Amino acid sequence: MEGGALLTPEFQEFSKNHVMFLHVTTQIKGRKDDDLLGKKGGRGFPFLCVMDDQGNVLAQHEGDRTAEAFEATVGEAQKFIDLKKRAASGDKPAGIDYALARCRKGQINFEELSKELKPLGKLTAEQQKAFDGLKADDLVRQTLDVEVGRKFAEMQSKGIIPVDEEQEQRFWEHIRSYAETTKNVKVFETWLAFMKTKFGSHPNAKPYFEAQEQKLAEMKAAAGTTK
Amino acid sequence: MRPIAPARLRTSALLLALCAAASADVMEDRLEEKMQKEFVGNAAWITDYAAALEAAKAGNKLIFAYFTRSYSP
Repeated sequence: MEGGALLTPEFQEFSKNHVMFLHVTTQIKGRKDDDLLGKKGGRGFPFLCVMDDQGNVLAQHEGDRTAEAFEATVGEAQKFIDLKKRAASGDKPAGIDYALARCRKGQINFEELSKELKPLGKLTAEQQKAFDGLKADDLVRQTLDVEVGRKFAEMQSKGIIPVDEEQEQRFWEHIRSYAETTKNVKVFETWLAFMKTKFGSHPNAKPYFEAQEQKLAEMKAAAGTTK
Repeated sequence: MRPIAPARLRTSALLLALCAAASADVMEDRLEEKMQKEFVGNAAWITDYAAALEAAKAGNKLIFAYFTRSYSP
């Protein structure tokens, strides 16, 4: 892409209409905003998105990497902003679409979506279809995070732990996910202790574990315990 | 091909990050090389996050963000 789409005259023209932000993850220790990719929902490179002036991700770019396709993603972001304005003005159908769009973007969870939709009236067939799809997504997520994680946490508490490295990684990752989803402080502490034993001595791991300790403190505060 | 579970991807990302240790000097050199690439000169890229937010606010514009890396090709 850097040797192609980003070098074209069309891209140069596209760039004149927007603020162009280039973020380079360097892995230089202590470098400002080096972890920004993860904070914006990126899970790999390259990651392209459109943000507002608060840094909220309004649209992620997927598909063709051409100036024309980038412009379409900006258009999608603009539509989201317009929808927000209409919803704020009391337009109930727009309010439904806005809530559905935020849930699709991960800005609210399914439970919050359901609450928001209650006072907004009946859904159209298209909106209902979108709602049902999000409900299915939530069910899959719940099943993976809660049911599988609960089973693995039970196994771990009985000392039943996989020996294959790949299975061990998956096992502990489901336990972490379960602990976070259910806000189970004890299980999260157990997961963190395991991770520290395995990776805690690595010099690059310090920021990661600081973030996890912070998460644990927040979970404890929410649960009303400081232990 | 068997799909890779997101959970595994998250753990793998951590492991990769931990294994990608290199000296600070090497990382600085790689960043410099990245910033000298031709594409950087083809648009008025802002590389500071706070400055990009400010520019968007001042110009009432949206931000088009490109996330890339310098530590690896």
